[in-house]
Amino acid sequence: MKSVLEILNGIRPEFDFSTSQAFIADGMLDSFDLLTLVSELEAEYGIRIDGQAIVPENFVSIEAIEGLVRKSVRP
Amino acid sequence: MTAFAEVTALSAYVDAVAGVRRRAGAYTTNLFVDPAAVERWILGGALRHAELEGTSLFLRRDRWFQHLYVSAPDPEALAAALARPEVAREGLLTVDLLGSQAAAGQLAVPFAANGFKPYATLRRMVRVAGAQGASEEASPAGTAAPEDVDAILGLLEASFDPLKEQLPSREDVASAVGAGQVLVARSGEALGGLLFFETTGLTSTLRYWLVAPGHRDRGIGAKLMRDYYRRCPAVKRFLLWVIDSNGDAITKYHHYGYSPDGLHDLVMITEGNPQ
Ligand SMILES: CC(C)(COP(=O)(O)OP(=O)(O)OC[C@H]1O[C@@H](n2cnc3c(N)ncnc32)[C@H](O)[C@@H]1OP(=O)(O)O)[C@@H](O)C(=O)NCCC(=O)NCCS
Repeated sequence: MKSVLEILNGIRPEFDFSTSQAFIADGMLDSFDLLTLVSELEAEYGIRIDGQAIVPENFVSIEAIEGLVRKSVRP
Repeated sequence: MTAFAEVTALSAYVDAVAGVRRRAGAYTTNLFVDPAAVERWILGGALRHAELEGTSLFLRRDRWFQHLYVSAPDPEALAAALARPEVAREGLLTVDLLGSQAAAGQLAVPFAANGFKPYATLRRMVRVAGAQGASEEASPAGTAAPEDVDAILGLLEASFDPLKEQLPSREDVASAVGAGQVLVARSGEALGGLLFFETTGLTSTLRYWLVAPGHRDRGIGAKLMRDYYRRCPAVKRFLLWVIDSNGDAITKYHHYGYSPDGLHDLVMITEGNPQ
C-alpha cells in the first residue's frame, strides 16, 4: 500500500512534501489537486471521504491527511 | 423581487457551501475559488446568494454581467435550480466549468438544458521550474506603479473579453500593483506591455501577458517573461490558463517550457447579446 507521501509525490513530483507543514499556503496543493488527492486516497485505502471534510485544513500536512484517512469510513 | 440576497460575511458563504455538501449524493460544483477573492467580492458588495431546489447559487457582479457559481447536491437538483425563473431574471450570466474535458462536458449538461451555450474553452498549462524556457538575465521591464492602475485596466479591457478571461476589477489591479505582481514595459509615456501574476508559495500563476497592438513581435513580451522568471526564483510550478483558440500565445508558452496539464475550463453563457 502506498503511503500518503508517495501519493503526494505522484500528484506533484516537483515538490518536497516532507519539508512543509502548510501545503496550501506554500502553494504545493490547489483545489484541483485536492480533488485528485481525495480520489487517490479513496482508491488506495478503500475509504469514502465525506464531502464536508474536503476543506483546506484537512490537507495542510502529511499528519493532517493521515488524520483524515483514519477518520474516513470504509464504504 | 429577486431571490438573491447580498452575502455580507465569509462565514455565510462557507456555511451555504458546507450545508449543500452535507446533503450531497453526487456533489456538483464549479466553486474553486480562493477564500481571499471571495472576501474581496463580499467587501465590494459584489456577491449575492440564493438557495433554490437544495442548491446554493452565487452571483458575482462583474462589469455588465454576472458570474454564476453553484454548489449542488447532484446534477438533477442543479438542473431544477437553473430552471427557476429567479435565475432567468438575472440577465446575462457566465459560468466556468472546470475539470478534464470529459468532466467539464458532464458538468455542462444541466446548464445546456437551461439555456446556457458554450462560449469558449481554456486549457491550463504548467511549467516546472528548471524546464527549458527564458534565460533569466536582467531586463528593462519593471514593476508597475500605483499611477499605472488605470492604464493597466484599460489595456486589459481593450484586449481581452471579460466573459472569457475573468478580468480583474480596479481594486484587484491596485492590490496586485501594490504587491509588486504586475510587471510593465514602457513605450515612452505609454504602457507597451504588461505581465500580471500571482504567487502563492512555490506556485505562481501567470494571469495576463499582454503587449499593446503595434508593439508585438519585437521582443517586449520576451523581456516581460524573463523578468517574471527572474523575480520568482523560489517558484517550482508555474501555471496559466489560455484560450484554446489562441494558437499564437500557446506556441509562445510552449517555447517557454509550458505544456497542457489536461485541465479544461468550459465557459458557458446564457443566451442573448454578450455586450
Ligand atoms: C503573447 C504576447 C504577449 C507576446 O508578446 P510579443 O512581444 O509579441 O512576443 P515576443 O516578440 O517578445 O516573443 C516572445 C517569445 O516567443 C518567441 N516566438 C515568437 N514567435 C514564435 C513562434 N512562431 N514559435 C516559437 N517561438 C516564437 C520569441 O522568439 C520570443 O522568445 P525568446 O524569449 O526566446 O526571444 C503578444 O503577442 C500579445 O499581447 N498577444 C495578445 C494577448 C495574448 O494573447 N496574451 C496571451 C494570453 S493571456
